[in-house]
Amino acid sequence: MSRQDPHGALQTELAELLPRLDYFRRSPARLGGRGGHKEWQYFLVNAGAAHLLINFSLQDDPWAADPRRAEVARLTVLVRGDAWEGGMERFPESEVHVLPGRIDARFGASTLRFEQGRYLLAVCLREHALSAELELVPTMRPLLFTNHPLAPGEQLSWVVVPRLEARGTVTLGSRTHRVDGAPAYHDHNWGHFRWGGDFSWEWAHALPADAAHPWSAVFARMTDRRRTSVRYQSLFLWRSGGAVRTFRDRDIRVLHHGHFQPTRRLTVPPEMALLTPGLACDLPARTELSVATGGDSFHLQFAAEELAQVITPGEREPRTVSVINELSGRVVSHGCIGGEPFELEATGVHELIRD
Amino acid sequence: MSSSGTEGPVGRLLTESFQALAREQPAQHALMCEQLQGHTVEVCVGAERFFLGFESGGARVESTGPAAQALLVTGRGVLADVLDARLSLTRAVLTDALEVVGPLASLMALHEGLVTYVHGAVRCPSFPALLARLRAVCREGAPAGPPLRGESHGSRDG
Repeated sequence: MSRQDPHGALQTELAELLPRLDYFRRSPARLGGRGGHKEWQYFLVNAGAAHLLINFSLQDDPWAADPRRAEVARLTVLVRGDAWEGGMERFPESEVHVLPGRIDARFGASTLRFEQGRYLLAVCLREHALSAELELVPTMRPLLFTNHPLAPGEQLSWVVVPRLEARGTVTLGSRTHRVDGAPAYHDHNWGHFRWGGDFSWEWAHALPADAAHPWSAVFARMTDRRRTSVRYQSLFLWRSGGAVRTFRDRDIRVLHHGHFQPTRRLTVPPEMALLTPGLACDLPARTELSVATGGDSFHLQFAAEELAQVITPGEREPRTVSVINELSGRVVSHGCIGGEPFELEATGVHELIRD
Repeated sequence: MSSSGTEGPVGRLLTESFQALAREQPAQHALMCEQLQGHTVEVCVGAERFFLGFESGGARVESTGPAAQALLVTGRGVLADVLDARLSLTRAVLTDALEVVGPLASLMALHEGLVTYVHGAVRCPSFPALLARLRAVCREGAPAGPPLRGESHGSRDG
């Protein structure tokens, strides 16, 4: 008589599925195709005292002399303890090896691979005493969204793996923190668009302290650049490995409260602070999401604590910048989905674009 | 175009950067030269001293020059702190870590020109390598000291 192991079955399924969804696309411009391609693999790990953000990014440089060699590799590693620390590093073509069609990348000494159902990350920054070696095992089914419109003629595709379990080490300065069974989040975005185009987005995710917490939520909202019109918004909920509910558009009420006034910020890369001096920012102190429809209810409140800003030159106008604000803070959420109540207290990241 | 007659590393890198800006972001280079046209600046970075002059379509970096309209005095360590966002440009000026002396109109034109230069620089494919070299020069010449109060390694604005 055979015994079922649903956890093992899910991991086997994800080990086969993710390489088919989450592979590096790479820019078609390398082969003479369309330029303006952007792609990044993003990871969040709630390693207890430290919240880690890792981003492997490949973006076509719109000002490159040769569009076939325009793709620029950057690695961002940020860690949130009391405050955000870390930075972004850019790699010359000779130090970058990324296999299209595979989850396999090397940026200098840092690597990202997917093997035997696990993401394997080894990252280190040359300019900062920050490194990590992590194994992340997906524990919830991914969602794939292809060619979602950002602005006319511009799209973004997205794979989201809402929960993984992380093991390994994070070294900050002379201290090495062991990570064992920490909850993590991963997504992968790719598409053709230009920073400064007629779009803005808001994205939020919460990671509970316990990787075994059965619920996970991701919120995404697309607006026009001036943020006067919401084009679409979605709230995705997962429970015990699978997606259980999606709320969209008018189902979701979003309220921004107050004005976040940071006492400090991390600027990435730091030289961009010359173009965005000061601490003034147009960000909410608190954000509230609520849904009550079809017998289901969901409520989430995010309170901003620390700010990191990833700043990139605007690609449509010569004297502009686009600021990707990574607000970290506390999340309190509760609700009832399909008759099942839940509560969640977590560390969250709320990402908002301003330009 | 841009020309150079300076021997110091900061002046030489500045010359290379003006050349890169003219080549890779000609519109921003032209705008910077227009904003700074007719202005002259004496620059002292540590022991290094050079003169900047601007005219329509060109920027000059020279080791000698006539009395300039504006004077800029700072150290390599201050440049490193500003580049790494440990110190804002405003705070550097307010605390005299970076001294700028000159008529208000010249200083305002210098600031406008600097902003145009940086907007162009961050769009030039060859600037990351120049910036890495400038950081290396600034750190090499910077005295080791405690971090600025309330600010930490990397790029924190506080």
